[in-house]
Amino acid sequence: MEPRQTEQSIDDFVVPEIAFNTPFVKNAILADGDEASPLFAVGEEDVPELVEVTVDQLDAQADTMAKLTRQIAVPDELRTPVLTTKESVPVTPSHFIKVEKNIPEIDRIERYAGQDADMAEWRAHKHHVMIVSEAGKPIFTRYGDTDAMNTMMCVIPAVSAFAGQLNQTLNAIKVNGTLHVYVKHGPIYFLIITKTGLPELVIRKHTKYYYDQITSALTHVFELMLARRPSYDMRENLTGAAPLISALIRRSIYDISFTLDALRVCPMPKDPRRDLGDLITSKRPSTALFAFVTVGRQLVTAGRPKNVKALVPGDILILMNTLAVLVQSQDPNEPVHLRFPICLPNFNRRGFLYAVTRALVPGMLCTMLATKEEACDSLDAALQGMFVILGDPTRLPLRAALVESVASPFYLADTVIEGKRRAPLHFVYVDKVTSQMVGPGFGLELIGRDEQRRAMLRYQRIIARSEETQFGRAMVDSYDDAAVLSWNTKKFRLLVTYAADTPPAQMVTVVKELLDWVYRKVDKDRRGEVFILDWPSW
Amino acid sequence: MQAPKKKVLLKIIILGDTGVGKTSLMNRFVNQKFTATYKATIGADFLTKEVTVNGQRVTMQIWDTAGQERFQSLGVAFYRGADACVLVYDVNQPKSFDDLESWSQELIVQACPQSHETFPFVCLGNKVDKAGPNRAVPKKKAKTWCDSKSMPHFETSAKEATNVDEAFRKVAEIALLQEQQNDDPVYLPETIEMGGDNAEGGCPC
Repeated sequence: MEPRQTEQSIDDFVVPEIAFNTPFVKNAILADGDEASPLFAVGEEDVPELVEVTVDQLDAQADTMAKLTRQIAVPDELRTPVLTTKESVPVTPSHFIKVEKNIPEIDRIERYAGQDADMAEWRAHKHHVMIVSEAGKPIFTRYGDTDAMNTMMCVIPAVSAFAGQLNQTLNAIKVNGTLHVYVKHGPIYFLIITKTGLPELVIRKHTKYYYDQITSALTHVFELMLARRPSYDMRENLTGAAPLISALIRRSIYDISFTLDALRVCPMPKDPRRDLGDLITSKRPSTALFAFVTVGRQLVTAGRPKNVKALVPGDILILMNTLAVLVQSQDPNEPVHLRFPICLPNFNRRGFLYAVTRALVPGMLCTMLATKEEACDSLDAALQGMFVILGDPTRLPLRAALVESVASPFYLADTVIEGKRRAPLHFVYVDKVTSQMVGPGFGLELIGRDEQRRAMLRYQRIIARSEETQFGRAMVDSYDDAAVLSWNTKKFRLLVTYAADTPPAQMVTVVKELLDWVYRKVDKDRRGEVFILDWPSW
Repeated sequence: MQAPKKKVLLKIIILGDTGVGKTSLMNRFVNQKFTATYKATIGADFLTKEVTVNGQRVTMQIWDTAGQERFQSLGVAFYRGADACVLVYDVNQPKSFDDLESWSQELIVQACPQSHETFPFVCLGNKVDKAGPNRAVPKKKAKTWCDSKSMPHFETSAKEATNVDEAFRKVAEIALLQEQQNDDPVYLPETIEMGGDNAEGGCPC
C-alpha cells in the first residue's frame, strides 16, 4: 500500500520548545565529552556549559559537533593500528569461520537449495540477494544453488558491462512492483530483487553490510585474490560463512539499525551498567582489545583501551550478527562458550581478531577480542573469572540487575507515555552523536509478526524519503491503518507510528512527550538508563 | 547450503565475426539443437553445460558474444576473468579467419590474463558442411596459424554436429589445466599487531 505523503517544516508543528529547549542534545554532548571514553564518536574537546541556548546557538553547536564527530571518527592514525605481517602461509578454508551445526539458518539455506530461477517457487520469494564476481562467477545466492543459478547470475556483470559501454551506471529497474537493484562493492556485484517494498536507498545501504560480513569472514584476502585472479571461485572459502550472510540479509529487511547505522541499547539502570563496566575493566587481561556485553542484538556496554581507535557501529552490528548465528549453533543445554576469528572491516580489514564469548548470566554474553589467537586462553580465563565474581553473594544486586535486563530487554510503548490516551503504537529515537538508538517493544496493537514487519518497512521507506530532505523537516506518511512520522535533525532522528486517526495536534503532543521521556531518562538522576554513557576503558 | 567446491566453474568466451555460427555452436554443444534460421545475437547470450574432464566435474559457463560491429569492444568488464576463449571463423569466409588475430588481441588486451602466452584459446573453423572442394580457408592454412600460437584447431559443423563436442571438451580440458596451474593458495591474512607506536596516535580519552 503506497502511503499518502505529507511534508512540512517542523515549524508547522509548533513544537520549538520541544525541539530546541530540551537540554537533551546538550546532555548528549556533555555525556559524550565528559565521560571517560565513549566507544563511538569519541569527543575529547572541551564540553559546552549546560545552559539554556537559543535555536541559533544550538545550530552552531551542532555544526561544531558535526565537525568534531567527523574529526574524531575518521583519523587514519586511530583507524589503522600498527601492522606487522606474519610469515605468510597457505591456508585452507578451514582457517576461516565455519558455521556447520544444524542451526535454523542452515536449515533455511538447505530448504531452498534445490530451487533455481526457472521454478515458480524461486520466483515466489520476496527478497532475493545474489552476489557474483566481476567475472560472472557466482558467490552467493539467498535462494537456490549457485551452480544451478550460474547462467542467470553471470548476466549481472554482463548487463553492467553493457551499461558501462554507454557510460551509464545501472542502478535499479522497477518492473511490476518488483525492484531490481544493482550494486557493486569492491570486486563483487550484488543484485537484489525485492517485492518487499524496501526503497533502493535502503537496499544499497544493506549491501554494504553484506560486503562487510563477507570481509568479516575472509578479511581483505578475497579482494586480493580477485584482483590477482578475477576468475577465482570464492564459494569454497565462503561456505562456512553462508549462514552469517543469510542471517544478516533476513535481519536487515526488518531491522532498521542497519539502515540507520545505529546500535540498539539494552535498557539498564545507570549504576549496574557502570558496575559492569568496572568489572570488565578490572578483570580483562592486558591482551584484551575490545570487550562487548550484549543481550541478543542489543548492546549493554563495551570497552576498549584508551589508545585504540573507536569502532564504528557497523563493525559492532556485524559482530552481533556473527554472535547471534554462532550462539544458535551451540547446544542450548550448555552454557554459551565460543571462540572464533573475526575481521572487523571498518577497524582493520587486513587481519583477524580472535574472539571469546561466554555468558555472564543466562542470556547476557560478554565477548572479548584480542589480536592474537594465543591470547584466547587469557580472555577465556577472564570471562570465567567474571562469571564467578557475579556469583558472589556480595555482587547479588549487580547480578540481579543483569538478569532483570535480560528479562526485560525492551520498554513498552504504553509505559513510555504513561496514562496517556493516545500513546504511539511504536517509536524509535536515534541519538546521532553516539549512534545509539532506543525503541520500545511492540505493544498490543502491533502484536502480529506481519504488523510488526509492516511497521519496520514503513520506517525504512520514510527514512529513505527523509534522507533527501533537509534537516529539521518533519514528514508524515499516512496509511489506512497507521501514520508514520519522521523527524530528522542533525542530532537525532525520531520515528513514530501512530494510530491512523491520530490528529496532527495529538501527533505533536506525542512527539513532545517522547522527547521529554528521552530527556528524563538521561537526566542526572537517571542518566545512563536509556543510552550508554559510561564506557569502560583501560 | 552453498555447495562446496565439488566442481570447477569455467568462464568460456566465444568470439568471432558476425554470422560465423558462434550461437549455433553453443546451442549444438549445450542443447544438441540446430536451427538454420539466422538471428543475430544482441549483446550476449549465456548457457551452461556440465562435463567431466579427466574425472573432474566441470561447469562450463559459456558467454556467447555478438559479432556485429556495433557490439564489438565490449569492454574490460565483459572479458574479465575468462578462463578460456573459443575463436570461431567460417571456413567459407576468409575475412572471418583474418579477423581472428584481432579478436584474440581484443581478449588479451581486455581480459588481462595472468599470462598472455599461455592463455587457453581454441580455434574452430565452422560450417565445414557448406565447404566445397575449393574452400576459402584451407585447413592447412588455419592449422599453421593455430600451431604458431600453440592453439588447438578443429573444423566443425554446428549443423551436422561435426567435432562440436570434441572441440568444447578440448576447451574445458585446457582451461582446467590452466586453472589448476594458476591455483595459487590463499594466504593467511596479516596478523594485527598493536605496537607501542599505536599509543602515540591513540585517543587520549
